[in-house]
Amino acid sequence: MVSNSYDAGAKKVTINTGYPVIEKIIVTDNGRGMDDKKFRDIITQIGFSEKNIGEEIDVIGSSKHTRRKTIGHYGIGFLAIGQLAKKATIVSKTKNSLNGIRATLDFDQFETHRTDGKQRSRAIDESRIEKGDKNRSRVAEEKFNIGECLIESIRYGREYKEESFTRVELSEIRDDVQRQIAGSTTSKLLPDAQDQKSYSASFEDILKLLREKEKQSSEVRLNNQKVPRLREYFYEMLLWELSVYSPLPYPDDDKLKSKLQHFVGLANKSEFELVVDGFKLTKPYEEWFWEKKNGFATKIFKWENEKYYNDYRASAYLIYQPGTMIRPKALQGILVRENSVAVGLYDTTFLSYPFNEGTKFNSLTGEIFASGLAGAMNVDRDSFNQTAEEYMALTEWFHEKLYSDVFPEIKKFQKTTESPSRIKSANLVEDVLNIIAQPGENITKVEFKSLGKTEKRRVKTVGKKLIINSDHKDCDMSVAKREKLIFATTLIIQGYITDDIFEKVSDEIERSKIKAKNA
Amino acid sequence: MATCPLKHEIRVNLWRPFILKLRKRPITYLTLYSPPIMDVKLLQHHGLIEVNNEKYLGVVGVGINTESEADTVTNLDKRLDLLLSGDINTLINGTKASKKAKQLDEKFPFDVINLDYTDPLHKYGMDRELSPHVEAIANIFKKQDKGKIDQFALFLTTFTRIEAYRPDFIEYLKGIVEENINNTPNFKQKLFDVSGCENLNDYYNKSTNDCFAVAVTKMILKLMSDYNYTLAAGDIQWLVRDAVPPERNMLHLAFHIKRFVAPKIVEKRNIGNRKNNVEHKSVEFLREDYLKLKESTDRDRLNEVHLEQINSFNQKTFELKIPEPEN
Repeated sequence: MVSNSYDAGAKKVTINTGYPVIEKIIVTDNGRGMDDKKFRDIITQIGFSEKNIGEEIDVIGSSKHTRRKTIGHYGIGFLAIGQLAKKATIVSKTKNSLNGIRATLDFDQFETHRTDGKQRSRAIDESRIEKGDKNRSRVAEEKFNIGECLIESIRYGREYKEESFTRVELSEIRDDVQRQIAGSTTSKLLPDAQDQKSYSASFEDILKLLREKEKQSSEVRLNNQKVPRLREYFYEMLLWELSVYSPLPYPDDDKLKSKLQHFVGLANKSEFELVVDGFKLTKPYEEWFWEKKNGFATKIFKWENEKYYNDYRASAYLIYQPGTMIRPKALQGILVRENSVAVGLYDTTFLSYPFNEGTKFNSLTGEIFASGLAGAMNVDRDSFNQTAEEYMALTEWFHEKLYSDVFPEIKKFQKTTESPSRIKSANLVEDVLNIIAQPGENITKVEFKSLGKTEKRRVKTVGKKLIINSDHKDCDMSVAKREKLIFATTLIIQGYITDDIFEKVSDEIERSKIKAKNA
Repeated sequence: MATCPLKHEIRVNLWRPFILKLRKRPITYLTLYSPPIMDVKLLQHHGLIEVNNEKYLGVVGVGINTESEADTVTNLDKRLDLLLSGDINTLINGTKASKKAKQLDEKFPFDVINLDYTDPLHKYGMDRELSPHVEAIANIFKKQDKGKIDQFALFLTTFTRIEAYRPDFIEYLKGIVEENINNTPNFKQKLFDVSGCENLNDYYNKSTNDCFAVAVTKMILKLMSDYNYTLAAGDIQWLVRDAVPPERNMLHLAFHIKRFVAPKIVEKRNIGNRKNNVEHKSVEFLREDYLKLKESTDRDRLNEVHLEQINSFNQKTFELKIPEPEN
């Protein structure tokens, strides 16, 4: 429904769910509205749409004469509301007209029943699905009947001639939807969950809440059932997802503007505002992207306005957070946006990247802003047709960036002594060896120290102190090298060998290992 | 009720002037919300509360149930700083083990507290010596004192059909008035001047509601003195709902409360008079004519005065507004 508003050139959409009661859901936009004919076309023909994919339209009321490209193309948005509510009232008016429409949709022909313990929807009378009920007044009575619709013409005063809008009011919200959004499905298992829920005053509070909850245990056990903690925050999660999907601006943040200026510009170009229950949504964004984590600054990879297929262009950024996983977890991966509207959520496979890069994927988050993908989107607008040429081209373009720019750079960084894993490793080696280097041993203190790249030796003893040369190429603290270093250095500490024959002994150990393997 | 012009008159001409007495803006505000939460909109209209893109900063609302919580969100153009559903008395008197009680506790102190109750202060049949309402008022003073606030406004609204009250509570209130008559000559004199009565029973029989109002005021003065607060100003107004029988009287009390600072001793007469003595303050509440707003006589007049503002406040919600069609 939000996509429909966006495609209608709306500058602002408001959604009133009436949370935590959820008796009605009202979506209002100031887009171009629908007249009687257009509404009938949409409501009676699944798959019909006047919209051309990627067609440029005016943003209604934009002072900057902004234009945007449409994203939807199947006219199915309205029909999807039958899953949420039994009734819907749509009021709409176009500009330069005093006439509007009021349509009342009745989806009550669907009943819910339980099969195998699961709630499903089906039509009451299957014969009516085929033929339609000729005795009742219907708009949609051919082939597939999902409900009834009464359309009335309404008239507005002259003062409203220039106005255009659409208001969709869903009433008789389906019980399961109501319970799910209100979080009461969880209340049975967690009776105090509702009482313990915090009120969120702003969207930022919601983001804070979700971050906190994710840090806490991911699930609780009640009556031997696992209950995900975040399930009681269904409503909050819903808003988060909506903020990801929608073509919204980023929050007003100076650091963000300076680091990702191009992308902030792309997002703000949409001139689109979404307010849900008073929450003014913005794109989710984490301030700590720019903070040092465990002493390491993030790395940003950016590609701006590059051609990826014919004249279609893409911009993308990736943020790599060394040594730690991206949190919240939902931000891990890459999000593809067609004209600022997200298609699906963050993809942790990085558009099915064909090579295994291990845990590096967990430390990456980013977005691709591409044009020309509307035709490659599946009907649900939530995923892409994997065989569409433009999507394949985008994937290829992005994978090339990962393969040539991102992962080599990350690997290079990981090999440096500054990388978090190397530093952790070095600390571990130091700790282990200092435990072995007890008073009374030949060596009582072990430490890493830079001895310069020209120094060939890995270790050097100075009195009772053993220095490990942090500049040596074999002291980069990969797991295998770390183990070898600990073993060989222990021989020095315990007096079995001296530092001058350390390299010889190490080589001997290595040769023996290879021999043993070959044998 | 919330869009009633009489109630709006109370907001405009009783509550607002008392808020202005604080000479502070923006204020922090605790209210018992009742959609469409006109009081908050009035404060916003006069720039008395701070708003940002998304919320009313420092404004806390407590409503009785989730329905009113949903209605409040729907009827405002921004979100409150904190919105809690539950009984205000339970939240104020509750332990910090309750998350909601803790959340509310953390928001204290407030510049303005509006206890816009719609029920009696101490219900008939309640098996408690001290009602949760009275306990809550006492706890509010305690929390305000703990929050080290030196002045604030307190509004209290209560239903005054005497039969709805627990009899011994009424006796307690009467005792408070009697104590004043016996111990405060000023009070006794003023009582005679305004009512022609010399004793409690005469006054109670002649003007039960007024006697009740003065007694409740006196009770609140006592509660505040326990926490070293004193009264800087106060007022009483009645809202009489008489359009449909039975007639219902709502008592509206407004107080400007300040930290009691003992006067400097510069004259002999100050010696021994440095206590926070609230007795003489209750004299100020004795009046011949309390302002009474009646539905039967004032509704039309006040509609003319306030309807435009009420309607414009009603339009102020976060939802996009679409016009009403002619047919």
